[in-house]
Amino acid sequence: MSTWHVEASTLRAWVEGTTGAVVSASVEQHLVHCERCRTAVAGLVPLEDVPGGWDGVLAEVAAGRAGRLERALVDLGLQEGDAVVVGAAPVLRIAWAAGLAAVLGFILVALLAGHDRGQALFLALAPLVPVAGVAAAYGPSADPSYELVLAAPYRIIRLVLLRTAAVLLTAVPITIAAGLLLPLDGAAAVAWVLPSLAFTLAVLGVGAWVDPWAAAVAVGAGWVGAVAVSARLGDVLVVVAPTVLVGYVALIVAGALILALGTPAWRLDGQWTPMQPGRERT
Amino acid sequence: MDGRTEPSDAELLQAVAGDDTAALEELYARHAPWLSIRLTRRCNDDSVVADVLQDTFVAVWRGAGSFRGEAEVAAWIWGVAVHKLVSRLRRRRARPEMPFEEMRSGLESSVEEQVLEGVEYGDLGSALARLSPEMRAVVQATVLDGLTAREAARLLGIPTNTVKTRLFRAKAQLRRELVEVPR
Repeated sequence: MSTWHVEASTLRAWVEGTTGAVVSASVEQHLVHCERCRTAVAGLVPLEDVPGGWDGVLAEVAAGRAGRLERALVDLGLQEGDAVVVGAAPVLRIAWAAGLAAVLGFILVALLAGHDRGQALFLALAPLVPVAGVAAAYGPSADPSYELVLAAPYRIIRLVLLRTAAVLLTAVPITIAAGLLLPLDGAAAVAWVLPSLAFTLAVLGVGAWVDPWAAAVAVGAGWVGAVAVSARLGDVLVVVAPTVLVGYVALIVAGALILALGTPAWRLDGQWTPMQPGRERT
Repeated sequence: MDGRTEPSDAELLQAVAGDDTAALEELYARHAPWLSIRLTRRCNDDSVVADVLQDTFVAVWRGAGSFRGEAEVAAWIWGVAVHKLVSRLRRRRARPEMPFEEMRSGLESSVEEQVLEGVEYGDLGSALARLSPEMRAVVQATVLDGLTAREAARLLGIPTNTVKTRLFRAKAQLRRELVEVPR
C-alpha cells in the first residue's frame, strides 16, 4: 500500500470535524485502505465516546445466537454463513407456514368438494406452493439482510439457489404428503412435481429481467387457468399427460440453462440488478 | 512490515464466523471509532449513528461467514454501514440533520481516487472545493460512499432526479475545470 499517511494534526482535525470537504474526502478514502491511520483514529476516539457502544452489539449478538432454523441448516451441512443468509428472510418462514396452511386447507376443501373437483383443486394449487415460496424468499422488498448482501462479495445467484432449495425442500414433502392422503390417482399426486419445478426455475430464470413477484403471479394464473379449462373439458389430468410433461422438462432445462449461463442482470460481482421499470440504478 | 503478531482483520472475521465474540469485540475496537466519525459526517445525530453502528456489527457477526476475502474488510464494513444508514433514515422518514454547510466531506471521482489520496492543493483539489456544497454532497454520496442515486436521495432528503441532475452538473464542472486549467 502507499507509504503516505495522514498527518497527526490533520487526523485530529478530521475527528473534530474541522477539516474541509476535500481534505475530509482524502482522509476518508485513505482510512479505508490504511490500517495504521485507522489505529491512529482509534487512539483519538475513546471507545466510550463511540455512540451506542459495544454492550448493545454484544446483547444483540447473544440474543440472536443459535436461531433454530440456522442451526438446523448447519446440521444439514450448510456452511454457517450460508445458513444465515438462507434463513435471514423472515418471509421464508412465513412462506413455509403459509404453504403448510394452504395445503391443509385445500385438503379439507378437496375432501368436501368430492372427487373430480377435489382433484382439479389439488392440481391447481399444489404446484404453486413452491413458486410462491421462492418469489417471497428473495428480492429487495422481502430481505432484511439486503444491505449486507449488497455490500458482501457474495454471489447472489448462489444465494437465490440456496433459498430456492430451502423452500423446495420444505414445501415439496408437505405437498406430496397431502397428495398421498387425498383420494386421487397416484399419478396426479406425484406428477405435479414436474410443473412445480418447471415454474420455480421459470420464475428464477425470468427474475433476471422482471420482478419475480410479477413472474410468479403470471405463471400461477396461467397454470390455474389451464387446470380450469382442462377440468371443464372433462379430463383434468390432461395437464399432466405424458406429452405435456415433456414440455415441463423443456422448461426446466431452459430455466436451468439461464441460471447456469448467467445473464447480464445476474452480475456475479455480488450485486443483483433487476431491470424493473422505475427501479433503475446508477 | 511492522512485525506484529496480532491477527489481521480477515483472520478476526474468520474467528467471528466461528462464533467468537471476542474477535468481534476486537473488530469493533478497531473499526467503530473511524466508522462513528465518518457516519457522523453523513448524519449528525448520535442516536442514529449508534443504531447504525449496532446494526452494522450485528450484520458483520451474522454475515462473517459469507465474506469471501476478495475485498478489504474495512471497505466491506463501511459498505454495510452506509447502507444501514440509508435504511435507518428511510425508516425514520425524516431528513437527516445535515445542513449542506456542515457537510465536511468532499468528494472524488473514481478515476481521480489515486490522485485525491494524498493530494490536497492540486488542480483537482481546488476544482472540488469550488463545487457548490449541494453538488459536493451528491458526488460524495454517490461516488465516494458508493450509493445508488436512489439511496443518495434518501440520505440527503432530496428527489432522485435532483441527485442525478446535480451529479451530472458536478461532473461537467469538474471536467471543464480540469481540462481548462493548464497544469
